[in-house]
Amino acid sequence: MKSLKSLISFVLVVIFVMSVASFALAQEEVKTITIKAWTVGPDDPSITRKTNLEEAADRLNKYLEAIGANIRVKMDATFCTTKWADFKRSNLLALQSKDPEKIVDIVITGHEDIGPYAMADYIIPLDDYVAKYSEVYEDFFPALWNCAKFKGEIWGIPQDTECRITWFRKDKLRALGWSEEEIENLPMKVEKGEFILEDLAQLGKKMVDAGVVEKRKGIWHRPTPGTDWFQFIFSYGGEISDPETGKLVVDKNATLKVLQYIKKLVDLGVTPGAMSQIAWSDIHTAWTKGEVGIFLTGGSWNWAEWQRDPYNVSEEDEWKNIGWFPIPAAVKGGKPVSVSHPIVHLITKVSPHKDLAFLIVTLASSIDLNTKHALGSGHLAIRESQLAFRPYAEAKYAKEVTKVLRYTNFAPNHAKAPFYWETLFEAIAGVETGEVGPEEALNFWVERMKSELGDQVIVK
Amino acid sequence: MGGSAYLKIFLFLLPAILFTVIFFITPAVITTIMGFTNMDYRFQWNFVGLYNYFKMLVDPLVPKIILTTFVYTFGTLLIFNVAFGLILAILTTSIKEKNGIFFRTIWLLPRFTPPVVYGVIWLWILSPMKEGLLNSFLGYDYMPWISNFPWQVIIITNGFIGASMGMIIFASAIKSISKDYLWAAKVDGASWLQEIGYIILPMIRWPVAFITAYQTLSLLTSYEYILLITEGGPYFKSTVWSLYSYKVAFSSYAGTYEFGYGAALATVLVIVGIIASIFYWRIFKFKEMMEEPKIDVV
Repeated sequence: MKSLKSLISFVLVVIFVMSVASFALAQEEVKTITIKAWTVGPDDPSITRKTNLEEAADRLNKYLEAIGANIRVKMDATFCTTKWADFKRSNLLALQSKDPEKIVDIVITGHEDIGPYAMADYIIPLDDYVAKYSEVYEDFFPALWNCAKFKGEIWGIPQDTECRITWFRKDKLRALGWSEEEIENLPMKVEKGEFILEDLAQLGKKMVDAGVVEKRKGIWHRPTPGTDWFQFIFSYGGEISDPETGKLVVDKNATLKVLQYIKKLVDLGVTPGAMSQIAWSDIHTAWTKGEVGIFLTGGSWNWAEWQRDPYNVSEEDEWKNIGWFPIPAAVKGGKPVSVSHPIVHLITKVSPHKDLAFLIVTLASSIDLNTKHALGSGHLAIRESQLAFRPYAEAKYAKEVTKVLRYTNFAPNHAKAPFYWETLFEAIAGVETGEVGPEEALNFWVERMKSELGDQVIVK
Repeated sequence: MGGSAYLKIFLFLLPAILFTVIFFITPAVITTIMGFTNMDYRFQWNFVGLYNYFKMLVDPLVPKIILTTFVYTFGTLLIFNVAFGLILAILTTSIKEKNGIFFRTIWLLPRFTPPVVYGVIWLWILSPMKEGLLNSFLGYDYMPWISNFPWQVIIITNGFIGASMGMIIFASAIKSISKDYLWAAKVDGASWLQEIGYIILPMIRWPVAFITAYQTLSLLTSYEYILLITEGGPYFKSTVWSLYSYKVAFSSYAGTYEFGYGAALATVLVIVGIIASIFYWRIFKFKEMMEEPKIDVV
């Protein structure tokens, strides 16, 4: 009896061990692959650039599990909130090592990096991948593909876009005695070319003179370089690149007018000469507190940014007190302008899992996930079908601000374009601080451009 | 000295030599070689001869930057690192020891503060709007301190840190002066100023010469506080040579860095540093300082 019991116990133990072992073996067969990504805000609400990749990886795992595949993916993404320059510098230092241990599979960055990265062989062209999932990619806005191309090939998958706008405080216009109808009609007047840059400067002056804002708080702008400054060159009828040769263009006449306009804003007492020395956080704080009348180089994402810490403006208050329009034309009857800076997903050359990485990017480009990002961070749709997607279609702000896209332009995908906008801002800040006059700043800038770009720049 | 004596000296110096070769000479050599390439964000060693040096000759920013570097280096050196350091050392050694240590500790605080924190504090102090500490203290609605006084700002902000090194060295040198001289001077009726002029200053001339030489080289290559506080502006007014070299090499918004040109600019700084060292070595007769004393007191 005892031996039978022992035998039964022995058999049970063996069965248990075998079950555990087979279970463990079965578990071992499922391989987890880590897909790494560098993502960037720098604004906090754009965290969905990172979380959408994570959500896409979860979805992919669900599909893999459903079909009994023996692999799973784990998303390991970072999110940079410091500065674009810091983000790009650390990416570049890692990319040049060409070491897969140090480099991620997916990079989310500005479209202007495509040219330099493609030339350095850091990223791969994606035309074949895009063709493979054409049902997803066919309804992306064509203009965004233009930004993602370099030498005729697609190197990036658009992640989002935005538009640069001029913000104005409705409460300050009310304080000036404007009626609600006049306030609501202002963007329309800008679009028709009835309200131009000169009117904007005078409006800032009226605000200061009437005391609705303090001196030098009529019109503020970003304190840093950026593609935003191209808008003024466009507004004055200039161009920044030659469509035929792809070379950068220095339009002396238009740029001089831009510099003169900046000087005028300071001379009128609506903009501080030291605007470039005011920190971004102080600018947003002053703006959201209603201390500044007009914010000249804002972007559509500011709307979401101001709703969050530390500004905490309710959307209701935003609708009540804040309005927007593109950068006004420089001449009566002219068209206003805007600039967009699309963000793209890139797949690195050294990625050992390019197919999986691209699949995750494709899933992250789903209408629902991208809409979640767009609405949460104040960015705009990248796909036509998103416009009909209920949450997007019902979002009043997204719907309204998307209209500015009809006036938008893009920075050229030229490796030296950032040098262009950085040195242009040096001239703008120089004139603004009074260190140099518009003509002198222009001539010095032209010399710098010629010295740096040689035959890659056309001076007009 | 025999061969074994030289070997002993060499062995004693070996760790320092290795350290210097690895961390100072090797980077300088690599930088110099890189200066002959057009290396950019692709990190390729394409040799272009003296192209970067010719580019420097026609670079429209170079004349402005040379002037600013000269003003910054010698302004900070003479006003703060030497003169102010000396004043602090004399004052804090002329009062009670405890109080002297207390004041010297206070003046060391900027050196202990992390550079970014120090930079942010100055940005708050110098903010052009009425919220800025200096403006709110003076009752100004608006005063762009950095725009209006860029040279003064970079000299003062760096000088507040730089003065502490001179202060420590000079204070210890003053304290090592034999009290006999000072007592003798007092007996002869010397005033405090006469003690300083006739005893203290002549007896600390070596530390003063050393600080002058050392801090010149240090200031030539320092730019971190300028980068944090003025970013080299307004309109390059506070851009010094080392900051320009850094910006060219590392500070491009979209990563089109010019490592080759930046390295060439840095190489010029290395050459200027070597020339300055030789100049100081001769003018201050450092060889004399290094010689064994003619009289040894046992």
